[in-house]
Amino acid sequence: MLRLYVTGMTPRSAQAIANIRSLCEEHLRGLYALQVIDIYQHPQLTRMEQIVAAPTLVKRLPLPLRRMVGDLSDRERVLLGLDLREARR
Amino acid sequence: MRARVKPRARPRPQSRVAAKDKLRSKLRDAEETIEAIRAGHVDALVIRSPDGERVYALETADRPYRVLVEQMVQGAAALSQDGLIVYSNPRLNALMDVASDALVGMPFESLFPEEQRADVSWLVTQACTAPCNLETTLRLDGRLAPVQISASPLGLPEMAVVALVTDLTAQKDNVALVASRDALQLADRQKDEFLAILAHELRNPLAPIRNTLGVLQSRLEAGSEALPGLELIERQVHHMALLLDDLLDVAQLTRGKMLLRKQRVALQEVVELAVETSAPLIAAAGHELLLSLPERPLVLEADAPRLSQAITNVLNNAAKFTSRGGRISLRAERGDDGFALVCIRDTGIGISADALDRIFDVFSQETPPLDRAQGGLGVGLSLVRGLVELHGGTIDARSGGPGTGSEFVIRLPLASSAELKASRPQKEKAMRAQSEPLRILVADDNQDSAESLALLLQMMGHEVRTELDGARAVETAQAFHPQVVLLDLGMPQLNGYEAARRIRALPGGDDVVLIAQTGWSQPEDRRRSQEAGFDHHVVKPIPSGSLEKLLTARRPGVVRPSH
Repeated sequence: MLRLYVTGMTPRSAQAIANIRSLCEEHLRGLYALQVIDIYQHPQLTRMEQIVAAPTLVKRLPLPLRRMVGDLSDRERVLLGLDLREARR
Repeated sequence: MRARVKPRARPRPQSRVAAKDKLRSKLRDAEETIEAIRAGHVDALVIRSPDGERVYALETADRPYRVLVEQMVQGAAALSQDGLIVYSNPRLNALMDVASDALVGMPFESLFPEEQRADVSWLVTQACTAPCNLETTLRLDGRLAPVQISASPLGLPEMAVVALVTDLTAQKDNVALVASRDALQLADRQKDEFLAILAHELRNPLAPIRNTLGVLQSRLEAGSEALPGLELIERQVHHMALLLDDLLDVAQLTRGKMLLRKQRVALQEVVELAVETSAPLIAAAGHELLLSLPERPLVLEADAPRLSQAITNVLNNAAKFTSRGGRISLRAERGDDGFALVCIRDTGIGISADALDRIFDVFSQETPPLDRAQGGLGVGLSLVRGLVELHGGTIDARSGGPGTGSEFVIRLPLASSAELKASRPQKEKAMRAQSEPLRILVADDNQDSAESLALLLQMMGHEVRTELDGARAVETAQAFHPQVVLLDLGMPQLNGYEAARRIRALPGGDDVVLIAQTGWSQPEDRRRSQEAGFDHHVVKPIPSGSLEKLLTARRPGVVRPSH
């Protein structure tokens, strides 16, 4: 279960949304739930998850909770962050 | 001695590793977040504030919104609580024809003409609490343009109201255009109605003229010097009647009021009828006519007289626009996909390329016909197209240009099955010799009409009485016992229909031949007179030949006792 916090219609927001969607379709087909939240519209939702900046992607489930800031264009990093890849030693 | 506290069992190695991992990942996330911020990979920061979280956008995040406001098609201004402009977008600046910041600090209402300012000021005050609109005027490009101001509250300390200004000129123009289009269409319809009435009225004087002509001609001796003059008058009257017929037809067509009586008929028959009608004109012009018709009948569902009228018009045109001794060829054949084709070609003056587009339009006459005496109104071809299209067909004109002749191609849909019913009109039987004198009553409120007709009939050897209104006509019918009554339909006192009914009601009334005379010739008019009991319905002026035939014909099935 993933939550992406973005700021309305900036290019970076659009990029982040596109990236995470394509990544999920490729690696997690049928196994994910993605929520996109516009912090301009719902600023109060940021408090709960201690969102500091946008765009931020939060992986709520499966635990552990992970977060990533930025437009999510570095795929390897994102996959790593979502525990879908082994970290290279 | 200190009690030995039993040491807690050491955490198992796995959970210690897991805890360390958790810490490690938390730290990593935090580090990455800070790194992302420092690298400028974020749009906005979320800052805690007393009344909830606040989103502080970095400049780049704002850009799309700025661009939206700057580029949008409406003029926009942000106003302070006092109604002063704190921001105006480029579109508003352009509308007011000022440089970028020139409007800042000015009261919003000062943009508008003097007389509108109170309204605008009121609008701004209202808009601090709720959205509202105002339609007003603004001076743009030196003219007063209608505009709409939509204002809404913004709720920010520095910006109380946003006002959008939309130029309504285009919209209003559209409304005006639609109104003028509607007015034009109405005028067009009125023109068509007028033409129909005009043509009908213009026929009336023709009747007495024709009748008197007949009288004069019969009074003169053959070889008299006046005869050619009279013949000329007759031709001109005939020509005029034709012009009026054309005009009436075209008016009917454009009003969509032309009714066709369609029947199964062979195209060959229609063509022959047309050729018969055009033959005199073609012969007079010294042209050669070549006909090519197929053996097997091409069956159409058509109104034969109307369709042959169309073909006649094309043939007449070919004759008029070809110099003496030319050639006209008509070829009818089965085309493909269920259509019949009629191609009429001539060796005449041809049609120029740009005239080709307009040639079927009403009243367009590119060049006058070669013989000015045959000039027309220019409605012939538009009539043809209308008639052809009413039959579900098409017509095309082709020409290689001036001097190369023209070709007209008519396509007509063939009837679904090839059966042909025998549909020849029944010939009227003349049951009395023409020379036997009859008692005739003529009723017409137009004295000239009545007297000239009466005179004509008397010349033919009959005994005639005239009356100028319907009531007197009925009275006279009672006393005079006419064998034939000619009634004009539109008389005062008692109109023709009613007079007819009353005459029929008289003893012996059934035997009388009732003839309705009128300028109206629509099928509904004929039906009406039939219902009123008339035997015949003729359109003024009546050619004298037809008059003689009518005088002796009867309704089918009624036997006339010999007197």
